[in-house]
Amino acid sequence: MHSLARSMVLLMYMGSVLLVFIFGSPASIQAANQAEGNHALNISVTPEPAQFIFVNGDADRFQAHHWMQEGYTGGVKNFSSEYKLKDGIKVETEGHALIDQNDYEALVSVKKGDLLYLDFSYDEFRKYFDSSGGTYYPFGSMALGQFGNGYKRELFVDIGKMEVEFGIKPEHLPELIFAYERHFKNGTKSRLTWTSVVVGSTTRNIGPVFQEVDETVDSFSIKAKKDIGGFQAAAEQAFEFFGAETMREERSGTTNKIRRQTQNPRSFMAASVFEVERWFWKERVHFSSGYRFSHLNNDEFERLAEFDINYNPRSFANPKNKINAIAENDLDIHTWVASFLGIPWEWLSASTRFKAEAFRHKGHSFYPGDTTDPPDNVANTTEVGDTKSKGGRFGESVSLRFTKIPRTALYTELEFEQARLNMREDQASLAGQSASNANEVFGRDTLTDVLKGIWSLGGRVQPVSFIDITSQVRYRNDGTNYDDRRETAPGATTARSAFFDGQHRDVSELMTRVSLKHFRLLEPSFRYQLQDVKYATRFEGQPIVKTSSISHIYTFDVTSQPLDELLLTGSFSRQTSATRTPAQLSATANTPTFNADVDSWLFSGSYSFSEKLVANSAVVYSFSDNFNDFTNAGLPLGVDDQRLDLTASLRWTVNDRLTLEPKYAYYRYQANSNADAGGDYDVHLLLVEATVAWG
Amino acid sequence: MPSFKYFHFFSIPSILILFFLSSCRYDVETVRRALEAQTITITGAEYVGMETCAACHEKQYLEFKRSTHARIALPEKYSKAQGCESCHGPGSIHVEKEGAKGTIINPKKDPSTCFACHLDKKAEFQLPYHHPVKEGKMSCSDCHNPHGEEVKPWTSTSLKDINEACFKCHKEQRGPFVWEHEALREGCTTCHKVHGSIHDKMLLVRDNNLCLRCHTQADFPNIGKQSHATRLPQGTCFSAGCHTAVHGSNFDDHLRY
Repeated sequence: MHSLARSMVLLMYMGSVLLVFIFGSPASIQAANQAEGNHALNISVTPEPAQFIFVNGDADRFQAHHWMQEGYTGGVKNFSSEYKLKDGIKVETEGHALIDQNDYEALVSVKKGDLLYLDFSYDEFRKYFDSSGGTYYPFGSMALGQFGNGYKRELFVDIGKMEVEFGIKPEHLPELIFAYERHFKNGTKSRLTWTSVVVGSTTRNIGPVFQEVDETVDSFSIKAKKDIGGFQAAAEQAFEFFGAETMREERSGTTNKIRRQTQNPRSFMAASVFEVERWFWKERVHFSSGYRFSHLNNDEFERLAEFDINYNPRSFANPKNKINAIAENDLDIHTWVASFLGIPWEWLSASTRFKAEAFRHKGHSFYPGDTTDPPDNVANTTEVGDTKSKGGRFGESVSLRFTKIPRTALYTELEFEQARLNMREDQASLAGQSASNANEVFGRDTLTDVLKGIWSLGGRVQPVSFIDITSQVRYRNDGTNYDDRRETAPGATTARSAFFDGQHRDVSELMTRVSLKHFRLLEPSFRYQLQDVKYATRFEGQPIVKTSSISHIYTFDVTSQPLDELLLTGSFSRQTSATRTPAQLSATANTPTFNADVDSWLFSGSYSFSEKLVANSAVVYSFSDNFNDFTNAGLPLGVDDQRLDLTASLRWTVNDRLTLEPKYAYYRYQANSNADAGGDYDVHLLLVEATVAWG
Repeated sequence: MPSFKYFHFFSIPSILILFFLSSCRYDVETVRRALEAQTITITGAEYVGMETCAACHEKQYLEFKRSTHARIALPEKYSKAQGCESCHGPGSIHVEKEGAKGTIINPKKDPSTCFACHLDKKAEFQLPYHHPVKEGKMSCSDCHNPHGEEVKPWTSTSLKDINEACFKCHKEQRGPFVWEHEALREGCTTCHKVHGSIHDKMLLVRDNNLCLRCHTQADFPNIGKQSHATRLPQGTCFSAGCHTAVHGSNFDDHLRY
């Protein structure tokens, strides 16, 4: 379907370009303008006849970082037009088509006053993936291509959507909107579920893995809106059908054991939404309320198979062959919300909001395992999973906004949530060719209580006209308590997943921004953000364990115009982040603090040689230094690299209708080879754009 | 390859120099010319005030009164660029040309308007793994409703579900699953840095610490009843061939597949 839609878009573009050349010439425009009621108002086309990207190094990584493909690209970077036809009908089109990049967008909007409209849109782009796995010195890189011929994949996924919306607003009748959407994903992507590589007696999971994806989602909706007794009422009924086929393949780097998982998930969702709202008393009081019911049913068919290097089916040690596994879930959610806003004075507003929600989930699965070597497609044992949960959730919030103090706006907000969830989980093991597996049998009833609270205080101050300050502090406290009402006693070696008794989370946040305006040479702005997250987890029969994650972000931004012809902007951002757990002090499986620090610089400059000739350039540089050589303890995964992006272009306005813009860009990436499996790259990009305007 | 680490050492002195230079006042007209090159100003346009916008865009005008962004709106007497025009630019030309295309800033098509205040997000979108906002394939408004009562995709009082903004595109993670991962109840942002990250898949933390924030227990390296002493050093919990179904599994209660 999407290839059909893509063909439609290409056809549309060819047609559009043809139309532009036939009807878009100045003479044609003039003639059209003379024809009563049929005006081509504006047409603009920016062809991008030639873009060349030369990559020296790891092209996959470059494509993943920059969302563009190496080699030649051509197409139309931008097309837009606006027509007025008879009877007040207005037609607008817009889009682009960079064919070799698989980057398309098309928008067509037809509107007749306030009575009716028809919107069509299609867009598609390509997401690229890095094909490298991890690095463990002195192990080698395990890029996909290194597994041998036939295993190399071009990793990209085409992502797109097509939407059609038709709306009609007849007098004295409800406004109706009909919509259809199709979303799709198609391609092969990388996964972080890496496979094992063994050198000597050391095992590290650093081998790359890919997954093929073919996914479509079709959605239909009808919406009605009408004023009823002063209330604006809206109702919507939506249906969604989702289906996907995925295939994931993991190939062990040393044993050449191949594991392949195929999944076919499908789902159907129906949602009904009713909303009303009204302003009272000269727009000083507002009330709104909404109700939503959604029903979601999904099922999944799955198969997991193991092969040797020649793709002969095998059951290796600890076999994972699963045949014809099936699962089904049902989820119903009823949600009701209401909000009240009062503005007693211009300088004070108060609002409060409520939410009540009830939900119910049922899940069921069969997981037949075939452990015979080679597999005979007959289950040895089958695990049967059965989960049921139901519960309720309430939310409340209060907000105050105050602007009585000159040059100041202050606000404070309180938000609470209470939830209770009853969950029943049971798993059984059925005998097949082998006896049932007692280790896989368990049952549990858990009552979960959740209490959350968030308090925010913030504001904006302009003490003088050229200083602007905004700040906010936010504190959040979450508490979750798990009460096991019924639980199969775990054995010495059989683990059960419900080992939590409770967890608390405290989050403290601070944000502040200061900007100075109307200054000579520079207009600077500074923003600081702090987030401090503390976890306290209580496991069954054990003392509380505390962990933390803290991050600081400092951003400095400046604009300068030292000469009338020269405009400069600069930005510096430092982000530091550290995640610590008591595992950093453990003698066994020691896991040091994980740092994710990065400094980024952005500079741009624009110089006007004349009204018709403008030079633009930009530099982006980022630097990460997080390599933590704990070779004996684990796998170093901190990012340690440098990136430089440099672009320069010249914009030449040849005449009123034609603008030319040649562009050059240089991209460089360098990583610490002890921490990163991907290669470095040096990239040169050459590009010419031309904008042609009529009307 | 030659290193360019020296860039790094310019950072602190550059900030100091920039702040020092900024102590000289500038005339408003020149600043205006500078800002015209940015996105929040439209050449030749004047501010008209929110009431003028309301004449045609009443729904958005009223919606904005309740929105998160309105929390920091100052009365117009203190600054002309308030309300609608603080993001959409001055509206006089848009009014004169009866709403013609291209006469007002549409932040949906250019994130620069959002980045003018959200400087940190501008930097995050420059990081290697990011949603393609600066590439123009997505916009801030795909996930955020800037006019809405809540700009954030979710609060405790939203009609929508906590991860609904993410599941619009990432349906394969939506579930529900027979065996769920409770972390998803707290939202995707518990593990993902959604604007941009230095880690693949936009992860907040790339190694075992991501999971150990919640799953460290007093008798570590035990997790549950199982010792993970030899497993943890081999790779991250979801990378090391074990708990690969981190978003939830229909078949395995330990989220292995």
